[in-house]
Amino acid sequence: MKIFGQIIRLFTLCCIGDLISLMLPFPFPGSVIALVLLFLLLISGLIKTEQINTVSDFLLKNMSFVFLPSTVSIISYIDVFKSIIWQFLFICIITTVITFFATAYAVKFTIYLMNKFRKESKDA
Amino acid sequence: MLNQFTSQPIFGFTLCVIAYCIGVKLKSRFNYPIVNPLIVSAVICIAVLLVFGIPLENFKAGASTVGMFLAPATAALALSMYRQMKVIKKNIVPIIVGCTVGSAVAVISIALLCKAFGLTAEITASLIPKSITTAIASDLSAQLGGIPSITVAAVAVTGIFGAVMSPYFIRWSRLDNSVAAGLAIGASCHALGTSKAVELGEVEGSLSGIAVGLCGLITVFLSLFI
Repeated sequence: MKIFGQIIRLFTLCCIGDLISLMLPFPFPGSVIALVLLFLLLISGLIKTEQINTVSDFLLKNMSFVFLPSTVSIISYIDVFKSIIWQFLFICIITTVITFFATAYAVKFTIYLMNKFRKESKDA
Repeated sequence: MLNQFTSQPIFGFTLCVIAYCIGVKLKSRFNYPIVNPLIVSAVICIAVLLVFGIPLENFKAGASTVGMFLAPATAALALSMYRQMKVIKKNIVPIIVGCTVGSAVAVISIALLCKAFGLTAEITASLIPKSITTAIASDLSAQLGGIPSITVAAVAVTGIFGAVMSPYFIRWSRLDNSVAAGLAIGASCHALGTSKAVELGEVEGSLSGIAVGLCGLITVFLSLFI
């Protein structure tokens, strides 16, 4: 019964997320709404970790299993895929490098500014 | 008879479970990013379908039950973020700056490159979410009018490349800050990168995990404006 209870909580949240998503005037994934709702419920203490952890951890640990169907479906887009393979690989690789360095330096600079600010306020 | 058998939902479902278990077993034996359970299991499924001439529609009858768990798996990310609350509170400013910059740079650079290559709107929509976790990316791709299958492939390529290369990126950029390294890995190459970040250190691992969730959320918001 414990597992059923956890499934009910998690899946009901997903249903609510989908409902809200349908009511919104712009496209926004219902699953992401469910994520935000669950996060808020956890922070507020309305849902305790123990009330969802077994099912959630199983899903988190085996996340890639749920993507298997869409990965296999790639065979029906093989022609589209073949026509853009080089652009596809180039974009995937280059943007990963750009994103990595942009994030790394932005964070490094932020920490540098924070330390400097702290020092100045201490000196003053 | 084969057609009748494979069109039962139990066939596609069982094939998914068996292929995935083989993928996980291989991963625990060879700890190398390319031996990824998703790629191994997808190759197995595709091979079975092609060898026996099974139509994709038959496979989908059972596989769609597996796909249904995508939403709860995405929602479960809230739990892993909640468990990191202490680290989030301690590094709140760098986390917000890093994830916002990372998500914006990823979305803009992808959109610009797609335009430069003259790719169609459908392909562009499929590639825009490729730096975030597959759970959010495939839903976002569908919402933007993309092809989730192409998105999943792009996310996998990004993750594998990032997981292999990120230790070198850190060395080349002489990045001596583990907060910055963790966030950069999470923002650029999602959960697959995080598996590498965990090996680099505890701080790297948890910040990378936080960046995966937060960048996913920020990217969904950003994509409302494109």
